[in-house]
Amino acid sequence: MNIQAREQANAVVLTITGRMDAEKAPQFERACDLWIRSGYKHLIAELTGLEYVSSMGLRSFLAVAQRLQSASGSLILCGLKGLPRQVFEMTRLIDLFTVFDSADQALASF
Amino acid sequence: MITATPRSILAQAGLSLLPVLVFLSALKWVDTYKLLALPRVLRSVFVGCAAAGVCYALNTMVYNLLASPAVWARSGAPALEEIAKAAYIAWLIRSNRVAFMVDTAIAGFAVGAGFAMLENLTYIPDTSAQGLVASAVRGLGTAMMHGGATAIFGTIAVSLSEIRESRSWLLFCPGLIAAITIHALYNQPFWNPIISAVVVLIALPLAVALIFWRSEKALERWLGTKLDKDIDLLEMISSGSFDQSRVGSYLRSLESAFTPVVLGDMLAYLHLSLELSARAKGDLLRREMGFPVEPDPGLAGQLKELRFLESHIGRAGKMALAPLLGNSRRDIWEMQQLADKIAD
Repeated sequence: MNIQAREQANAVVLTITGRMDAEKAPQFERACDLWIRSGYKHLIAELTGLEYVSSMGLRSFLAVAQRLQSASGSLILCGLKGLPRQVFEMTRLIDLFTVFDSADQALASF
Repeated sequence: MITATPRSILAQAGLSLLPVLVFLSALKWVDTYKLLALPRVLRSVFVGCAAAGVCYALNTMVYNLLASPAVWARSGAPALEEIAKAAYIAWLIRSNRVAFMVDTAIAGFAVGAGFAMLENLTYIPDTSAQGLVASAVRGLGTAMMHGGATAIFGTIAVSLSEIRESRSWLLFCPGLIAAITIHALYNQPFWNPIISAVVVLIALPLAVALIFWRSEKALERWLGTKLDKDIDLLEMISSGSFDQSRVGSYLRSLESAFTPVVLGDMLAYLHLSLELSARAKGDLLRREMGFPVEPDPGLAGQLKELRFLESHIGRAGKMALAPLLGNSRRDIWEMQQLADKIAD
């Protein structure tokens, strides 16, 4: 899994590619933690290149969302497709997030 | 025996309710996954009260028949009362309404707290004679003993049924013996009642806390492993090369045993089971992380469809799919959880 981050407006866009499994999910949480501690309240996860998400990956998304929600912020998901989208939909965890087709659309919503 | 003055009756009623209130407040902290909905917890408390009522009537009958009621109080009554409380927990386990040590222990504690509530109303000695604090300690101790003993019965029974992969009535015996032993020891006259209550108040919460902690860890592991299996199976089904996948080849190997229509329904059953299974685990994840679980209007229809497919593919079809879907008590439990959600 690869994570690239860029600051844009008052949010951070994290582009995640590859497989988010038990081994890699903590890497995502750590990356988000750094930005949250820097004062950002809105993180945008760009997931077009995400191929797989495991239960640990889902837990990490929920943990970050929870942290941001308690700071009146949000974790926005973009470009969810294929298997990861099916997993989010089947577990109905998708309802907990604001979802956009692209990061540009998410940024325009601020 | 209920005292005559309104003040002491009020004090006694308050003391009887206290263990139930303490138990319900503690639930908020101990049950991360909210495995038992509040209506089921309250139902268990009510069942405990009913069991106490039945036992009170039976015990009174036996006391009147026996020359030495004290012997019955120390040996016969504990067995009768533990069987009465355990019957409901055994039913919960056998009908897959509980599947983990955590939810079984909660149900056991609720039954015990309900039982103690009624028992304390009738058995707590005169509060004015013994003193309010002493009565409170004795009342709480009795409630803890009843709740703890039934919780221990349930956790032993559910662990054995998981290890042995069986629902045989014999598996309930070791837990029942443990519960009766705890209860009988508590009732023995050679302990000072207040000291035995204090010992129970310290020892049983520690034992139950340990069970809760271990079970929550086991549940977390099960949730992760099982959800990952669901995701992997979904990945195989959804991949473009389904025919070449393990699931595809397995289903193709069944072509000679089932008609094409039944095979089609088996695939639909597999997909729907997977969807509902992932859904149930999504609900658990939400609770674990402190998010609310919203009602799903489409759930009743999906479960109805699952039952229809189940009847259409028959026992043979279900058995053929077992290697892919699993058919353990916990697999059945998660479907029961979804069905209960509609009923509640």
